[in-house]
Amino acid sequence: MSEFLLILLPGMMYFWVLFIGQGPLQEVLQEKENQILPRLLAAPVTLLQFVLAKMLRCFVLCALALLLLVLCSALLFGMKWGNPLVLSVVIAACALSMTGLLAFTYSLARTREQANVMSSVVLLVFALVGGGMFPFENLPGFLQTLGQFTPNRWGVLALRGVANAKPLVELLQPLLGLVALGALGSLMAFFLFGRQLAQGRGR
Amino acid sequence: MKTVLALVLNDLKRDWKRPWSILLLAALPLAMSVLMAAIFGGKGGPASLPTVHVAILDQDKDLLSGMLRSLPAQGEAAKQLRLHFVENRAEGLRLLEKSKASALVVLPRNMTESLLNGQTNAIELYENPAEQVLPKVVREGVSLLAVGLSGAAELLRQPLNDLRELVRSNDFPADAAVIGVASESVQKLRRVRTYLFPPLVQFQTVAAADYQVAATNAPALHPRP
Repeated sequence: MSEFLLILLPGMMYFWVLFIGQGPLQEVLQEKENQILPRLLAAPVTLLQFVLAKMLRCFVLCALALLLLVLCSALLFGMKWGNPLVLSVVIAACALSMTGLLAFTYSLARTREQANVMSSVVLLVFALVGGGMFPFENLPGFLQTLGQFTPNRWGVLALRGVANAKPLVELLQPLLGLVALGALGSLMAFFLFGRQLAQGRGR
Repeated sequence: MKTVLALVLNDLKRDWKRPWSILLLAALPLAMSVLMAAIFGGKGGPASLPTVHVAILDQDKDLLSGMLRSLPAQGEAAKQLRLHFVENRAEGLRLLEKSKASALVVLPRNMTESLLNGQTNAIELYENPAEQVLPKVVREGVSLLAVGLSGAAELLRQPLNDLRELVRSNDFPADAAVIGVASESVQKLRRVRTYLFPPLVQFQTVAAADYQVAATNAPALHPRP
């Protein structure tokens, strides 16, 4: 059972935890739409601090959810997740990439509805192509080629790699992809959110 | 940064008070993976292998087909292979249509006699088009059987002929005749002893857990002792 779980669970984890990370970013748009943001900003909080706090919360929730899943799978099904130190690096990288991906997607949307549709499409397509729903090895060749460039695939490679006791050096490629996506996505989202919310406040 | 941390802590406290939606979403990947593993993965042991149902039309009704009938009742095969002997082709095809069998195997008339006379035979195989994997398993099994029967007939033609005569005769076989057949068989088998006992090529199955560890920690694969 645990061998089969190791094939399925990392992809499922990456896909479903993204839905948990959506909550804080939905709140950014929700608070803008409900006119709560101007009231919040009346307190000694800047716009960028507000956005940063939401993104940080997204990161923490994703990391905690991943950790919870790792612990549950280890305790309930005897899955071995390898070196705890490497695992924590992988979890942090996955959570960072999730934050970057979600924040960037949400920062492109004008309304909450728009963001929900956009994020659902992005998450589903990435999960389908990146092996989040089916074993990646069973996908046709052209989808596998596309899937190589999805964060879901990098996350699966990193999580499976650490479970298979691969050294950190061998995990560098997917980890770098995850961290790069996380950093770049977060940075772009930070500025896009800042600009969008500042415009909204001006109106 | 202090303000940011205060905002995050405040929000996380709110999440802590109402964690159910997060916990539900967190439980989904585990639940779905376990469900899929239970459906497609089984328990990993031999008991989890599917049972192959094969319809057999035995038109030969002679020594070799009689031996074949008794084979699946022995050892591990008894758990994974169920033979349904049918009286005619239509009955076998009906079993395929109802998906009660993965394939229909027709053993030809006079198969044993032709084999022992060195003549070629053709075993017919009807695969169930509604199934994907199991008919292919039967196909592989039948091709293996064909090779095995050809080899056995080539090697043990005379002792098999003698054994067939013994079985056919209504008299209780004489000790000398039984010893003769056994001795002749042993002599024939002794010629190929080097290749068969034990076979020159063997295979060992390596468990996934072993090769995953071996691939990272050692240069070569080490099968489980």
